[in-house]
Amino acid sequence: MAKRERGMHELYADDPERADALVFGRRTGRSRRGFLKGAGLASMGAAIGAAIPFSENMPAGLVPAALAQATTAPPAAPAGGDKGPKLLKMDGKADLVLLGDKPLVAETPAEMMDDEVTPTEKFFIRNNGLLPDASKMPSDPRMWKIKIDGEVDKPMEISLGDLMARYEASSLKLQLECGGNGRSFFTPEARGNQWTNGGAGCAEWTGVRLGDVLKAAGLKSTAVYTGHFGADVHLSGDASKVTISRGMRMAKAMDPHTLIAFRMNGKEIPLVHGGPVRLIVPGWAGSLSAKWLTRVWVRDKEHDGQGMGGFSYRTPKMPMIPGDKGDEKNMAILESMPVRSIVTFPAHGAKLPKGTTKIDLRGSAWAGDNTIQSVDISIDYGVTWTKAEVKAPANKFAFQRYTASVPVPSAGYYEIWSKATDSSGKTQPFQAGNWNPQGYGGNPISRVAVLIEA
Amino acid sequence: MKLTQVITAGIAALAAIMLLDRAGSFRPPAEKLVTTKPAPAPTAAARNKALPKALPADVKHQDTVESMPQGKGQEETFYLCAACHGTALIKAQGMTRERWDSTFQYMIDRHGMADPDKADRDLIVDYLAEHFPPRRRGRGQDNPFLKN
Repeated sequence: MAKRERGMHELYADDPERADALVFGRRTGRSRRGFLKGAGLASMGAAIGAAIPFSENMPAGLVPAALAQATTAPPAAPAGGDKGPKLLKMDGKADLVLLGDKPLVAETPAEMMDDEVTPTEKFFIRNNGLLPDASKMPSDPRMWKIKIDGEVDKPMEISLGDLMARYEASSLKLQLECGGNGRSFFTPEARGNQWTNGGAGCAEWTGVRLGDVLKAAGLKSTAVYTGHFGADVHLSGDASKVTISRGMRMAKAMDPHTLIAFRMNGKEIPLVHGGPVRLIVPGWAGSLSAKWLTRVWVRDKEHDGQGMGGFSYRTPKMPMIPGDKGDEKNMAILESMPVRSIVTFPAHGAKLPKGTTKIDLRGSAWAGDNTIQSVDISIDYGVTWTKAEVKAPANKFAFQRYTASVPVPSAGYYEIWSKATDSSGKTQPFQAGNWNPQGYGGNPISRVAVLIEA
Repeated sequence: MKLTQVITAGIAALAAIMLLDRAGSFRPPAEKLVTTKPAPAPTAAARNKALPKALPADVKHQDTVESMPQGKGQEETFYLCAACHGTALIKAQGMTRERWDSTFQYMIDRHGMADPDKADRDLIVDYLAEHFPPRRRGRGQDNPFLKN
């Protein structure tokens, strides 16, 4: 067996404080912060390529953000190296970070989310199965059929064309976020795609309200839940297997922001984003927003489709030991996504010119069903915080943009930390908490590293 | 100051090499995504206990046995897991043997994966646990409540 390489990250993962010592010769005192007698400070600074002005505040074992995340302009990988994510190369899409090619999953780096409305080319991609075969789809998308059945008086199969003609359309800026967004922040690793914060986006979606269609179908008093189905093929290629089928409580289905959408940013929804027609269930796990929508099954009980049981899209009722196997009976469905903020400018890894005395930064924040009350920014590892200016959302469930101007005392290495607080008073924690086997709800303070040239 | 710079330059060079290596593993050079032409869906061989010895024809990813680290169980693991999904998903995980075993069960229960006999299952779960153990350990120590 080939000897496994031990990179810097692995060292940090194994034992952050020991890695501090090994990699940088760093020693921390009992406070676990700062650099004992300056040991290691110079070498860590040298590795980053700058002095670390707030080094006395830097927690022990904290991988400098500059080393912890990839930058947009990566150094060339060793020849033949096949480790880790690649960049997505796809017509009509920006160079997103590829998390996997089967299923096709790609996340948006924070600096590509520097818009109030995420452009389609920069929108993240999450598939659970294979894309439906475009050649087997109706050539006219208006012929696409959607079935509404179950606990309704008038079950129907309606074409997309009829849906567009019969129901009022609305265009809303709605955030869509993968249920597993932030999973990579869990310690130890939670199972699944290792998203940073890039499994989210806010596009303008045009569609009819699911609630209007359900009302027209006549909801029975027994209607309590939905079950969603799409045309994607299970990864095995086996047509008898359902790729994913999740559902929601009727109240969310009837929310006027929950759409059967057929346009994304004013154009037909691209196939990779679920076109010609998909659900948009803003603020809840993205898996509810069934792509290539074929059926909404109204249920008389909690839906039991693929992705509804076990540890899928569930967080613990009683906190569990991180890394433990867990008990399925202790899990409750994740509904609203938690509060999150990202710094979209400057980019992670940006070099700012010599003489920079303040950082004018901007970012986005969102909070599932809630709105953002405030965003706080720190450039000294959380010792002091500056309130950002936060814009109101364009409509409920839209990204909220924020700006802040933070003075910097000198040249050197800085980490910009952003922490949002939502309208219910919940804030982003320092570390991803409430560990669960499949890693939902990971929303720690986000960190971006910049360098002010000396 | 000068002496410090000389000493740190050496350490920095070492650190930089490690950094390059790791950063490279985050974002290797962009590769063209090639989607193979759709082939007919495989017939339901799903409940077969025997481990597959090749990938289905329409696998739609570029991975090969060599995509996985060398070791006992490499081929068996690759052909069972990569029949459905790419190896990037496997390699992104870090789990204890117990959690790999529950992941194995999850694939059987939720995704209709073949249910091989115990020896084959142990071979694969052992391989996964050996090559993809937990790597993130938080603040420098193991959780005092974890049994394994």
